[in-house]
Amino acid sequence: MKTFAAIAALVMVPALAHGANLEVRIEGLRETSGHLLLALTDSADAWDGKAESVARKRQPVAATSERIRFEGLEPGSYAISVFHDANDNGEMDKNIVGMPTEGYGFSQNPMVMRKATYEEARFELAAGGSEIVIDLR
Amino acid sequence: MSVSRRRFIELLGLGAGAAALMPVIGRANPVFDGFHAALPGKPWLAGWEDVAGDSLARQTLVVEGRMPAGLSGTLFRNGPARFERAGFRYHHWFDGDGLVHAWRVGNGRVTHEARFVATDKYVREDKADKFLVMAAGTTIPNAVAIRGPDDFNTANTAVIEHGGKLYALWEGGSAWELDPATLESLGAKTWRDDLAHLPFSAHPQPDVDGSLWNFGAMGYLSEPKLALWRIAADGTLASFDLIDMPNSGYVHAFSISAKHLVVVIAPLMSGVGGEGAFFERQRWTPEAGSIALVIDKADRTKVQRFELPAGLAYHWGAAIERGSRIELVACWYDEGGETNVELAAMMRGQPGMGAGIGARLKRITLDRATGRGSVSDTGVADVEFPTFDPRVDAPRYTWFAHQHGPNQTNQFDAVARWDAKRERLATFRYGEGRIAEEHRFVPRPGASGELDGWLVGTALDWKAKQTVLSVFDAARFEDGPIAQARLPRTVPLGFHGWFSPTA
Repeated sequence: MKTFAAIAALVMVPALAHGANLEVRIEGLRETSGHLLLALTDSADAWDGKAESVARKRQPVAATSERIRFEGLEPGSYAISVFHDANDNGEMDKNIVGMPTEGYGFSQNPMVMRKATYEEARFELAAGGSEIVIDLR
Repeated sequence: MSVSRRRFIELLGLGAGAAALMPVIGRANPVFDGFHAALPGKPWLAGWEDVAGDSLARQTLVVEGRMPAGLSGTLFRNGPARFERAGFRYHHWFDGDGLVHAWRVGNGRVTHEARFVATDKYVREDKADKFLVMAAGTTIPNAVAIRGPDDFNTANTAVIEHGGKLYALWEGGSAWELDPATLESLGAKTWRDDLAHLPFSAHPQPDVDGSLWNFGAMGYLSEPKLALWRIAADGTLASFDLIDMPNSGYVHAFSISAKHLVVVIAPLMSGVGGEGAFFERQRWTPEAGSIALVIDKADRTKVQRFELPAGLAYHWGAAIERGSRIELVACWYDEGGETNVELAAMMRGQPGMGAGIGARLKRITLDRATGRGSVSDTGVADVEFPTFDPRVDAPRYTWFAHQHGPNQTNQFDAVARWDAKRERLATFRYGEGRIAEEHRFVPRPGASGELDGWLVGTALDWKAKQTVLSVFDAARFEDGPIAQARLPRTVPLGFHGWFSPTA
């Protein structure tokens, strides 16, 4: 079963005059401390750190569910990776064999226990804007 | 565990494939339906029945016979017991959430209580009232993504007291600390920050100096690793090492000798292609053989490797040093690929598919001087859940649950004691209508002899619809229990326990 449509629902939101807006809802935060760090990318190269991201956001965490908004984007394909820097040390903490010990997630919520690929996380931003849900794991 | 080819294929059809293809609409679950259809005609399936609610309240039990005056403490036991949510039933016995029991014995009286381990998984799924995360042996439709192994840790395999703390254990993730007085969960145990969520197996081995050794197998990593833990007598981390595993094989338990750790890796390879849960993806690869690692306790970087014939042993007896040789016994399955088939059949209401339990008691000899390993048959069959006196460097006796002969359920109907010196198996047969579980030796306070104490264990009395705690004189256990306490209900068959004289 490759699709997990129930988890990542794409919902249309009203169109705005200049570019498209992206509403990102982050669900399932386990601590209400630190910051969420998001990277919005539009290519596999950017996803793999070989090119610039479209945008990066750092937002304080106050609740177990947070909303983050990107404005004025070109409609098209994007992917988001997010991690929860709960202790504000600026890094995604991992154990000795590299298993993450802080929350993380990807757009489309692919069922992988590793960093998703750009293709797995890719979603379409509609001209009229989109809202996506990322379940932090 | 001999099963016919036809049934093997039939089971595969109900395993990874069907679960993935069939949408869960109402109770369209062949495992759930199969089990509940079989239950009325097979009362012994109480051993795999779901337990509702979060706990079983403490109650005082009727005692038959006379509890020995010197026997005081608690037999903690653990095993899977939440198999079903929202009409969906797990496909593999190892998947159920852990229910920890406390059989408290003192002043001739016995009480019983039990509580589910409130793992993160249990709490999350209990709130949602359905299974949310992939289980070790079952693909859950529309499962949510998880961070790592502790997100599906069921803490369902064993329970141990060490350094004054009580832990419920699984094999893929953290130990879960419990309050021994109430069985309430205190959370995942992190021994050191960088060791969070690493596997701490369900089979730690107490050393004669009071420390506790354990391992954690990560055959699923791209570079398979074995974690080696040593917990000091005071409960703090004494050492941690990470060594390479030679392949992606399976290790459930290990053994320790006076100077070495012995880890035998079975060629049941993890994650070799395909989708599905961990046990669904395992592939029996006998051509790879089994590999024993003998690790120097004093310097864990000193590892000697031995090639062995292919076989799967979940459980091991004590390892004994005899000059350059190390000897140990194991409950050994020649056909390691078939155990998962039987563990799935139980969940469909068809346990006992093969002729006998299938495990043979084999002796493994590892000669450090020649680098050669060998496996020989003791002639004993159908034994499992070995226990021995951990205070002794070279135990003579090993206790087992045993299938003594043909019986209706094809499950363990006896308790047995292997005498390694005389190479003889003594048994006590519970008889028809009862399924024996693990039994443990409890030393008489102040005594040091291997038989100077009691044998304590449980059995499912499915004819009486009760679970029974039995106490034997260890030296004369063949004569039968000297006392029994009856729980006026059945509880699912469990895996491993621990007797604490202080809790």
